[in-house]
Amino acid sequence: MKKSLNKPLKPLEPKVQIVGSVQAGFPIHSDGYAGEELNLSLDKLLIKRPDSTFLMRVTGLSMKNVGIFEGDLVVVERARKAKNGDIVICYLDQGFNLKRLYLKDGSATLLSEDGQMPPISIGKSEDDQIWGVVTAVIRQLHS
Amino acid sequence: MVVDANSFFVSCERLFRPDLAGKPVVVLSSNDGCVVARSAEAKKLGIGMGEPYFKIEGLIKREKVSWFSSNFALYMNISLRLSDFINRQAGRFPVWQYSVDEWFIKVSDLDTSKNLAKEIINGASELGIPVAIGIAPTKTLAKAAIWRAKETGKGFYVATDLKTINNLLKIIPVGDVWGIGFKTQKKLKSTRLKTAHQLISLPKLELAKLSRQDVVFHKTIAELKGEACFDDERTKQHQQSMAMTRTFGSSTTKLIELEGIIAEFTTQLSRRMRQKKLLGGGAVLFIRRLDKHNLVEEIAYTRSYRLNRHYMAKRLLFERPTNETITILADLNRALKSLYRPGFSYDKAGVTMLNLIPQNFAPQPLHEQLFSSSHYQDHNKRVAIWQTSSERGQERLLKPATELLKGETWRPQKKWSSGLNPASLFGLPQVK
Repeated sequence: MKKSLNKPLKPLEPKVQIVGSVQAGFPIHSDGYAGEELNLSLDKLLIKRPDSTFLMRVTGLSMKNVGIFEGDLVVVERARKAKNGDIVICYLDQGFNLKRLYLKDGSATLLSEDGQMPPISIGKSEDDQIWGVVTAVIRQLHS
Repeated sequence: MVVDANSFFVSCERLFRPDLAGKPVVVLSSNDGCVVARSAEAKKLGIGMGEPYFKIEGLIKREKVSWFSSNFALYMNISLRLSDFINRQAGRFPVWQYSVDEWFIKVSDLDTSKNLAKEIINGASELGIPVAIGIAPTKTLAKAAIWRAKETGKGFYVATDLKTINNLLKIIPVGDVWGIGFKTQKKLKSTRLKTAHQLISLPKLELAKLSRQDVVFHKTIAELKGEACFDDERTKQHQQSMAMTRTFGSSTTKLIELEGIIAEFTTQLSRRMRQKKLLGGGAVLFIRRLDKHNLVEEIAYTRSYRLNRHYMAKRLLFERPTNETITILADLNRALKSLYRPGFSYDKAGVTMLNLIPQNFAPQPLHEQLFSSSHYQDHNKRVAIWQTSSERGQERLLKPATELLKGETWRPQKKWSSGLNPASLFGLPQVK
């Protein structure tokens, strides 16, 4: 056993194959894992309520200071109640906007995170609406 | 119990346009021809179902009605979400999805029904798609209850005791009863029957006179009387046929383009048949010819129906039941060539797969065993290829080459589509 760990069995074969061989591995005790997932699912990790969760594409830079950039995908939970400090999708002037929600004394303000755009207080127009809460940001580096 | 999403297509459009809540909205059919969905506000303006767009164009602009081309990718996505949600809530109770926006749930007792109804109404409104619910002992009565739920604007109506049911039947017009079609309505007009209650109070002989052979009609009457006739067994029966039809965005004169279009229909239909594990015994192919072939542009422009349009159809039987794309396509192509005349414009085509049978019911043809000809071997090889490609999730990558021949001009025009598709990376809503 010791020998096989220190020395490759067949020196001519690439190392990768030997590392993966049964002799170098640990025995797997599966008893304790019965019924559990065999792999991690990104879907389950990022989406708690699939029926009311939507993906949206970010087009602006108003949240760049918190690391959300143009081209990112955001996971939006429509049915989630927005809390103070959440990053939310709000519907303003016939378009979706990504903002930080600031709730104080019963009034709601939307803050950009780019150090430039002024805060927007909402509720003036009937059409203003918090559409959903951003629960994750996805940035794909390679496809 | 029945769940029904109110003005479903409109609700789907409004989901991504919250500013349109409470305002009149209509959704137009393929090629933006006529109205297929209306918001309550649009109904109030007198816009009818199926009304041609050009007729209401003035009204729409005057009353500031918002309009959309239909976007089925979006509607199917939202329907699937609702369906998953309803199925999860219903738990052990059987759910039967009747259409893209209607679900029947068979629940054992009234209290459970009411609780479930509340959960579904709340959950759906959280998603942003309002639903109405009717609770009653039979499907037809449940549909009557939902009619009342919409009338009263409460979105919820229970008709389980005799008195409520009777009162409901006394106010629901015959024409609004589920299962009473246009034809029956016409017949009923002459009898001066107004409400469903009057209809079921007719003596048996009179009812028999109204319709002797219409099974659905008699089942509907029994259902109104509280006897469940439309059982779920009906849904378990397999589908008998499957069709795909499109009116082209602009017409074509070229055989090669028609071939491409038919190839795409065949690809999609046979894929669906394979998914549902069905084999087709035959098919009907039709193309629609415009008799004044130089008036193509005028049609696209005015959508007038004055021109003569000829449907040309051919029915064919496959050598044996199959769902193999290339085999079916070869037959359909032959049929297409026999229907096609050069020099004419064609503006619509369709394929219907007929005599569908479940895969495991298919009889093994005798002659196949006797002569295992190369023809059949090729067929079976291709069946195996579709099988493996679908197991690998690559079925969509395989296409008959003819499919590449079609241009894109035939695709239905959707000038006013929001273009959103939550299920595609290229159709996602954008956020600034």
